[in-house]
Amino acid sequence: MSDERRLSDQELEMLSAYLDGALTADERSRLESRLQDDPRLRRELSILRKTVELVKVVPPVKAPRDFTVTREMLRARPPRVLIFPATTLVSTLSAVAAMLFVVLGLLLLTSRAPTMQGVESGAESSVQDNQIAALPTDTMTILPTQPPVSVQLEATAEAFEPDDDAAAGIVAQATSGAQPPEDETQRSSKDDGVAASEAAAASAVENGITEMETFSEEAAEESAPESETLDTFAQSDDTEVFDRTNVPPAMPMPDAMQIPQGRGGAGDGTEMGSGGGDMGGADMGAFAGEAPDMAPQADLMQEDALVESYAATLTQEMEAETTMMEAAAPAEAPMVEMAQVASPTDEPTSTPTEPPTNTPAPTPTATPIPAAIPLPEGTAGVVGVLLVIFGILAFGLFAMTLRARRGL
Amino acid sequence: MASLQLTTDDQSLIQRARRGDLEAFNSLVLQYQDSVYHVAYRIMGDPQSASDVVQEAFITAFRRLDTFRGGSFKAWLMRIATNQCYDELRRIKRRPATSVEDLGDPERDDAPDLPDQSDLPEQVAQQRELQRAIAQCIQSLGPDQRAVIVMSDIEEMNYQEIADAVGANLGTIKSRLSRARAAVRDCLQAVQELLPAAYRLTDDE
Repeated sequence: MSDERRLSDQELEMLSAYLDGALTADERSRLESRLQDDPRLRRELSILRKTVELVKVVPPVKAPRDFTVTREMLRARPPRVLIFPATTLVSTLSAVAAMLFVVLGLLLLTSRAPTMQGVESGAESSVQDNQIAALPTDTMTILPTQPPVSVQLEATAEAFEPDDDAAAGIVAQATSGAQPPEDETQRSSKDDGVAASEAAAASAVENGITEMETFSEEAAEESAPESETLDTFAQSDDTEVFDRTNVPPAMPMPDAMQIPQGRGGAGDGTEMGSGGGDMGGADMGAFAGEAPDMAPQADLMQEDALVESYAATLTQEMEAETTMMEAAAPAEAPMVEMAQVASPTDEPTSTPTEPPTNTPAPTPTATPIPAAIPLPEGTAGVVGVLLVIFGILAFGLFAMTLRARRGL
Repeated sequence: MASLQLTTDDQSLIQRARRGDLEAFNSLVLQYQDSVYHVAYRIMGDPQSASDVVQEAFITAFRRLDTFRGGSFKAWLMRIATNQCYDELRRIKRRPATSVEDLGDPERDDAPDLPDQSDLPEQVAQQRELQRAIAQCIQSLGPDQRAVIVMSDIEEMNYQEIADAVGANLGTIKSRLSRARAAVRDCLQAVQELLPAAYRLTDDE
């Protein structure tokens, strides 16, 4: 019995609290009855009590001097500069803002990834290229007249089936996220996009739009989102760029949404995606600058309008992607419109036909944007990065308020 | 544990201090500086650091009076002081001094006050020895446990006030205090011979 001096931590805690009168009535009565029956417990309590009294024996240390505060002291120590009141409200708000910003920013950035990957993977592209090649005639015709991308799109779509499925699914998800989706449209848009790309590629090749190709490639690489379609084209010798421009908005959207896997560059895509996203943003700017250059190219294809509309669509899509929460409707709408536009009236299979000239209308904002799909994505990427930075800053603010409040 | 209620005087002093009345604030400083210094001293371990910390703490307290929302003013002050101590400890990155000389300094200023008030030199010496031993045992604890045991057993703050001062929850304070006392008890076992008979931590009750 005497060997068991060590009570459990819990028992010691009970005794300690008992000494301080910090037990509830129930706990106290239970302990007291235990004390009556347990000599060991009694002994421990006695030792504890003596310990506490000995601690009290240590005389309170008196302050060696007065610590009164003087004005000089206050002046000598400039108050910590808080540009914000370190209140609970500011703390909470900055914490919430930090989380929101970071999450949104990351969402934006990661949404770019797929497209980037898509761009990366050229494998699919080649396959699709073949299929695209198969469409040349159609494409040719279609292109000049706002080709009924739809026709080719469908053909392409099939070719892209495996990817499309994934892409479509993603697109659907993306679009649904963005707006209640017109999956059908999306898909067709995507297909259109693809087809258009292919068509564009075909026509581009025909027209020797080499520059566009180059441009497309760059754009494709830079702008992941659009990548899918672009990728295909990028890889292909056909006009990647052209594809983009020609491809109605559908392309960009789907691409963006699509996962790289379709593109086969999944692994790389991921990395590229993120990097691409950022680069996309930058490139977008570059592309934007080059857009005008592209224009002439488009002219070759007689697709000025197409390009513009396409670019516009891309922009629209970009915006939609960027603000997933926001109604992607606008983007979708234009895309749909674009798709429709893209699928030229000429082709019977084409979906609603609007003269190419109309395309610019739907996407008023897109005008200056080059066919480069990356542009929209790039913007989203930039916004994403900015949001993350803001999130980090907000978190810093939160940390500072915590520190400031600790001093209270 | 008695809760430390604010007197009406204190409340009016606080109100005035909030409005920038430094004189009113300094009245409060004089009232609480011993307690605050004692805790700071126990945590820091040496008088110089403790003095620096206490001065900083009171300056900070004056600046942040708007954050005192009632309750125990002492606990509020202690909170500022302990935070200052921990900041200072981190800054210095050293353990508070545990040398007997350091600990002895402030205590030499105070008349030892053992329950049996004997004036015989021998007993006085013994008392000093004892106090030194106890102080050393307290000092051998970690800063967290030191703060808690000093606030509880010397400053007579209740669990809630200690919890507010330290910024931990009640359960943490309870277990921390219990462990601190157990550690002091074990430490004092080693110096049993110094303890007055009545205080020998033996198995006798």
